[in-house]
Amino acid sequence: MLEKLIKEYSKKGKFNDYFGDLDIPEKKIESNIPENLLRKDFEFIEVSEIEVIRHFIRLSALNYHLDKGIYPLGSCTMKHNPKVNEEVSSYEGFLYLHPLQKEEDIQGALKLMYELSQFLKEISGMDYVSLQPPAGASGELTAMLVIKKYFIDKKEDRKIVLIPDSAHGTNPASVAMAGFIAQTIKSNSEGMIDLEDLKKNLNEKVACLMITNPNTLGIFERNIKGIAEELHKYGALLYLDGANLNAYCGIHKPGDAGVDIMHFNLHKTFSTPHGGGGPGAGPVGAKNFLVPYLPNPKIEKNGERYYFKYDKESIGKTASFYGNFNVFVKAYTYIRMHGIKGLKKMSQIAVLNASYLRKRLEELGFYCEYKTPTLHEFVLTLKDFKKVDVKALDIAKRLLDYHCHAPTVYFPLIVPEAFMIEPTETEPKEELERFVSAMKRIKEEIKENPEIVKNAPHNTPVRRLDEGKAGRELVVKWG
Amino acid sequence: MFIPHSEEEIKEMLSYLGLKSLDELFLSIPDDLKTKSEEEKIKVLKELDVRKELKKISCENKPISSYISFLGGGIYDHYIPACIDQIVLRSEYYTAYTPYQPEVSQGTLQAMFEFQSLICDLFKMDVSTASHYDGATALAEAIYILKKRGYKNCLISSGLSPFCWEVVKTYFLGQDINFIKIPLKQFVLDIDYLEKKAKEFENDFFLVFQTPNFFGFIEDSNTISQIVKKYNGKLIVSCDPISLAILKPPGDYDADLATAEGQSLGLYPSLGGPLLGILTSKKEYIRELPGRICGKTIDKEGKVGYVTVLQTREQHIRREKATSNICTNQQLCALRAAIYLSLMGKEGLKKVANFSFQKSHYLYENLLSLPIFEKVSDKPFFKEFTIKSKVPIKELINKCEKERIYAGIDLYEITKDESLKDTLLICVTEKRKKEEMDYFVEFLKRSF
Repeated sequence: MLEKLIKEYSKKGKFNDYFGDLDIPEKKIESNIPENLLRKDFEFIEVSEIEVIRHFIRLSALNYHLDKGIYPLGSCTMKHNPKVNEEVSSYEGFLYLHPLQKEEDIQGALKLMYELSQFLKEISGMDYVSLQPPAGASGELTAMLVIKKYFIDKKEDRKIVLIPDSAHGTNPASVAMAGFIAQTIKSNSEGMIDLEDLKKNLNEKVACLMITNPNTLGIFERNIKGIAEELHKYGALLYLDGANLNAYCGIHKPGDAGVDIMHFNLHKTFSTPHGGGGPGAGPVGAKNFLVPYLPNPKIEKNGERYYFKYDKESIGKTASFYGNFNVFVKAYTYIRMHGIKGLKKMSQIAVLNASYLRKRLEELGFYCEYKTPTLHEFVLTLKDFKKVDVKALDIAKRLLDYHCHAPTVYFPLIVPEAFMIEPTETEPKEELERFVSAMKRIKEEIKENPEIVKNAPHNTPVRRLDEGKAGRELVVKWG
Repeated sequence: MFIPHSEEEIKEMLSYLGLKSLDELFLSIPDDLKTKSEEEKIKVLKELDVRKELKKISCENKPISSYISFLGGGIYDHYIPACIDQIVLRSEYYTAYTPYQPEVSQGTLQAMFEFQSLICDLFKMDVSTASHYDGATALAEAIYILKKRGYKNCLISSGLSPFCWEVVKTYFLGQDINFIKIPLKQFVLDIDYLEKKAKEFENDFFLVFQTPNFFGFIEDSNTISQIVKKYNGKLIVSCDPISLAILKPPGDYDADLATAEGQSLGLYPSLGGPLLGILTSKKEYIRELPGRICGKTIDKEGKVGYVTVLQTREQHIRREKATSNICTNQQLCALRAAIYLSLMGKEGLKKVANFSFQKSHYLYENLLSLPIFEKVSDKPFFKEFTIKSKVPIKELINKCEKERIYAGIDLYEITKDESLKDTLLICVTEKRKKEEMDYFVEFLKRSF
């Protein structure tokens, strides 16, 4: 064990007193609350503040993180998290707002949300953006519910949602949760949606197609406009998974390609920290005819005054209040520092870095399953190494030894031994070269001494962990 | 703005790719889908000015910290120890992603394991997930589990937070589930009505209730549970984690699933987001739970380590057959809660709960001594209570606000329930001082 459990620091009688004495006469709880509703035994840890601090600082040292080096997880957009975002989002006038305060008392917050929503409209070409969904998958679910309610109101019975085989797992899962049936559409030899397969599956039972653009291979679906027209012919809608928006801010607007509804990931494109797995934010933008169905409340502006608006057609709420407000402050700040022109440069360099890295790796003999040009990310197949019994996972683990975070592995599912790489625009050229050198060295190692790769990682805080044992024994809390 | 390349490097890289300009990187996007260059509509500010601008926007709000606040209703103003912010601002935590590579994510994973353990200890439940978006979505997910087990009738207490109820309704839009509202009597669950419905839907129902309920009153969890179990139903409870230091925990009255809004555990009110969804269950539900769960294992040298377990439940493996679509959750919020619970410890949590109890009762009695207020119920409460005003509630709230007091929540405004006209929901945490409460009472005495 690298750092013992916090519980192991516990000793009876340790207590951090943050409040001092009670300033009113104390009464007996038992005289107010029936005894059978009170807690009998309360076993809980007792640890001093210094020990708590040291424990969590020691734990933190076991993490690899973006401020340490390249973090090229495909489709996750692990870009620099500007420190000024953390500073401004910690202002008291943001942290200490209660969601049930009156509109008059939170005008600054409403203004910020209204403007952020306007910025996202501008970037995407949608007509209105609701900020409420607290994560990307929540945004997907929200969009599916919007589509569902739209068809319920139109009295059309549409149960099918079409999803390309390259899609994120959240897509079919969101579809199922909203009570639709997911149907897979094949990719063609170029790694794009197979139009023939799409047409074959398109009929009046289809509610929508969920498209990711650029798709998870990093390839722009150049037929997107035609796909939208084809769907619209059948009265079906086009939904865009905006996970990969970092590829074309200021260059292309999904709204112009016939997209009816989409979600954004503020924690990807707009630099808000991933936090080890949240909180994120997954706003949803829609075209006018779907706007009334978006979550309540919406934020509107009348002169200089901002207010909440409730639509009766709305699906309701997908989060308790207005969404992850503190995340909005960071995304807003980020966009204010860029403007559309700055965001365009951001996307250009994101694509430059990815294209550069792809070519550098191709020169070393690595290659993509699909030869099609890519934008902000690309997917290598490492299937050739299986001949010597080295898997993509082994190479990923060996990268950790070279102090690089590994790319996303085994996704998308249509690429064998997939290695999905997204460097983002904030990686310096030297850092890309460091990654290339690591990959080069690993390739040599596979030839010289594959065991070192197969047994990786070697110099991380722990060696390869036994996930099978964890799954069998299911120890999910301390004893 | 955050691009680390020199212009020279950009040129070199382009030339390496055989390209003349950055525009040529986008040849795969058809020309008719490219945005024409437009005039900049966003007023761009760099770091120096953006701080000023955001400070200005933040000052257009009236934070509860500069008022005497009695606002609650699900989001509470409990004390946050100074060291929580300092720890979660470690880049190691906040700039990392989901622990896809556990060998270099042991910090996040062990903290996740400790969060789960602390929550299980507090709730006396067998399993906790790593976190959800908020209490409302955690509850919706809990209902989803029982729906998938085939239960069609969901009895819902009218004491459930309306904000949770709104989200639950949305999650099950157009789905095959029957929601039956159980009314309140004396502001707690109507036990006779519950029994009637439990009998009617015997073997095919579950109950969702909240304690303390939205109006602050403590439900008779023992009796409720007995009735539900008598008719072979399942029990989901939504509770206030702070209350569990003194109130009976869900595990002690046979709850099948217990959920909570964890904002009280070291998170700022932050206009209601980000929050922290807590979802716990009996062991038998572990394979049906949504989202990440961390488990203990060993590495190839026998060293103890942590990984996420049962990933085959999750969307990235199981796709449309996954237990939920959840991917990103609220890890950093769960970390805050883990640190909070560790700092507070047994005595600290008891103190937070006891002070909240004592102070809310002190204020309650003092308010009732004024002629303008009357009781709505004799039932016990914990840190929040509903009280009826004889003066128009809006007038009262507005007057108080001018005096820099947030008096409470206008329940009619929130629920649109006629029977709640001129009722106020008032919350008192350990942070409120005697002088503040006395000032509030004196002011009301003077004004009405």
